[in-house]
Amino acid sequence: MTIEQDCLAVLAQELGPAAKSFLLRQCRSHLNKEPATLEKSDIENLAKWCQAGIQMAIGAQVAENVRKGILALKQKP
Amino acid sequence: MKIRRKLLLSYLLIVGLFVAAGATITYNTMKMADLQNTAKTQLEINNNAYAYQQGLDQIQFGTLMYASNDTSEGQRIIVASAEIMQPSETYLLNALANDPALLAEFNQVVSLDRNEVNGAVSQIYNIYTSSENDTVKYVDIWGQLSNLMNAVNQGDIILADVRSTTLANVNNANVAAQNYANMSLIVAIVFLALISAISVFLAVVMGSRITGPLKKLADIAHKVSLGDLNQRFYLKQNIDIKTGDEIDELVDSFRRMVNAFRMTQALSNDAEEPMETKPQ
Repeated sequence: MTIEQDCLAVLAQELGPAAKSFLLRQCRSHLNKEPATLEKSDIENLAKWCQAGIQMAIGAQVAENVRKGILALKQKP
Repeated sequence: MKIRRKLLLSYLLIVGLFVAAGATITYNTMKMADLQNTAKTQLEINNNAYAYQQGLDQIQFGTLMYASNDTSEGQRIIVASAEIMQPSETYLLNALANDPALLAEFNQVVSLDRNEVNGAVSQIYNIYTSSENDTVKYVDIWGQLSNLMNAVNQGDIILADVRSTTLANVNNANVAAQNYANMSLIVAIVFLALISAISVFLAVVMGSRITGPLKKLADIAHKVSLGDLNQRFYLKQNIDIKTGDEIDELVDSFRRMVNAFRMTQALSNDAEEPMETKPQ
């Protein structure tokens, strides 16, 4: 699985069908790249921006869950 | 635990109680049938002991008639008594094989019959048909009649004891059967009450555990369907609803769906006002 797919899997747990467009939006707006080009070094930043976005739209608890989920991808080989 | 497993376990609990009650009542019924057979056998023993006792008395009566010169009627009665006693003796020797105490008592009576009673009857017959003078004959016959009456009397006493023992056994069997019947009644009432109480309890608890969360979810779904996505109540409800079954999965899916709505709404508004800068 690519990093994009891993991130989508984490986001889909909380956002369902909105995960893909949300990831696309965060990558383009804050990382200035396409989700398909995500690298391990982007994970920390991505986690931060996903948390910020979800906290605004949904809530702190869900945002924190997503942040932890994305950061856990760093440990994945 | 899944709803189906919960319902199955509840059902098994009630079925288990029914099986336990049924097994207990069946066991009691079987014991009552055994006791009924015991009572029947004891009554049969009692009847045969009575027949044997009657036979002994008839031998005594027939011998008296024989000695009183009514030889043909005396012989007929003695033969008839033997016909009564023989089947009774055979039955009693078989039936009392499992009861050593009663068998020993009955063997005493049989021994009295074979030795003292038959011996006295034979002696009386021999004396009666001998060529002695009448005075000597009647003195000898009277002596043998006295022996016969003593033997028959002893036999009567022993057989009366056998009969009273069998009647006591019948009474004990009836009391025990009554106890089993009472126990069956109590078991039936207790289990019926227990099963009813548990059924009602399970129906109420299971019903509220299944319908309660569904009702909460239905309320949330209703508000969401009316466009109320800004409220956080569904998150709170999600914490409240923790059943560990399919309802939990449904709540998770519903929560995800609402999150998707909220996120889609936020993304569509994003062009006008970036998400991360919106006031919370």
